[in-house]
Amino acid sequence: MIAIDLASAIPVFEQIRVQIAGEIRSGRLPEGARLPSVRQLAADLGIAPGTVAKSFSTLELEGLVTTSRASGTRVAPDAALDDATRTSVRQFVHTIDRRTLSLDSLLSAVRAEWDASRPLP
Amino acid sequence: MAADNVLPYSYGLPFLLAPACFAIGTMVTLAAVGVPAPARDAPREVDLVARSALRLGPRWSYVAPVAAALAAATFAVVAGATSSPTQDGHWRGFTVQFANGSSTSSPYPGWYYGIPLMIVTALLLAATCAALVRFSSAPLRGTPQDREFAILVRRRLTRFVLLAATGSIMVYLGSALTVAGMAISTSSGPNLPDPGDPALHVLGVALFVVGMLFAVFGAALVVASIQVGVSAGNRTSTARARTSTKVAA
Repeated sequence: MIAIDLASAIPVFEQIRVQIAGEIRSGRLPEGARLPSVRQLAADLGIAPGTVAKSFSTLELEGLVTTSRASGTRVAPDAALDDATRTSVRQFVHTIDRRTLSLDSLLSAVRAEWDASRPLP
Repeated sequence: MAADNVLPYSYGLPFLLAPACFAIGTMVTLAAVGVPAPARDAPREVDLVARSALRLGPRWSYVAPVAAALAAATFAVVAGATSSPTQDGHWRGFTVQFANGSSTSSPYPGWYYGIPLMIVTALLLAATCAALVRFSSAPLRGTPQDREFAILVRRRLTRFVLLAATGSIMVYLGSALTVAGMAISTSSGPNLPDPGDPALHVLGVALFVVGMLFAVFGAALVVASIQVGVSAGNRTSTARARTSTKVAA
């Protein structure tokens, strides 16, 4: 399931892209699963088809989905995180106290830690 | 030559096509009306599932109207090919040649009935497809409960459409089989001056019985579809009322 907020500062196409990418990386959308058509998703969300098409094309560029005229848009092979990484992420998230930390704060902290621990060239 | 006009003053074409025309009208209306739209203020939450008209019911329920339509078309072709023209020039007779002459019975579902029957069957299938596509492709968003309810309504409407289409086709196919059976048995029966054709007579009686069974089964399906349709209609009214209440609020 995905949800969009038209009042949000984040562009709608980005909201869609982030949520579908999350569903794919978490494995909730399995490899080969067929996504709704651009027209269907746009009609369901009550937005312009071009917005959904932009999200899908970005996901395709990221290698998360493949699109063909015959079979529509499907989750690409090996797009999900491996089981060990997913388990680690799940355990990490469960240790966070949601009452004191927002998702944005947590992500910025993860990003900073990621950058700091990047192996030197 | 013996001639037996079972229904001499009524060609029965409107009677034969009435179930199909009624079903086509129903399907077209449903395709035009569609299902209730989501409330304007419904949460923009959607499922990431590709919907298809073929996923709102069991697979066999989609095969049934197609199989019935193919049976009707096949019968129309066979009956047309075995029909003969009557005195008025319409291909609505069935003639059996004997050693001492021939016997013609009418009405028989030859080309005069068969071609319109095939046309309305094709139209009925097209209208059924249009209604099914309309149900499945309508926007679907809202809370999980709203979406579940909307899918339930669509499933019921799909069931109604498929039952009604299958039942209607079986009713007029059964009627045509019955009429064909009557014509064949009459033109080959033992009441003729000639000895008749016992095998053909048996075939005619068998077609009559099978036709009656088809018609009764088709009528039962139509009645079942009406029950499903009333139930779906009540649920749809509830959904529309919910939508109006939300918009008003």
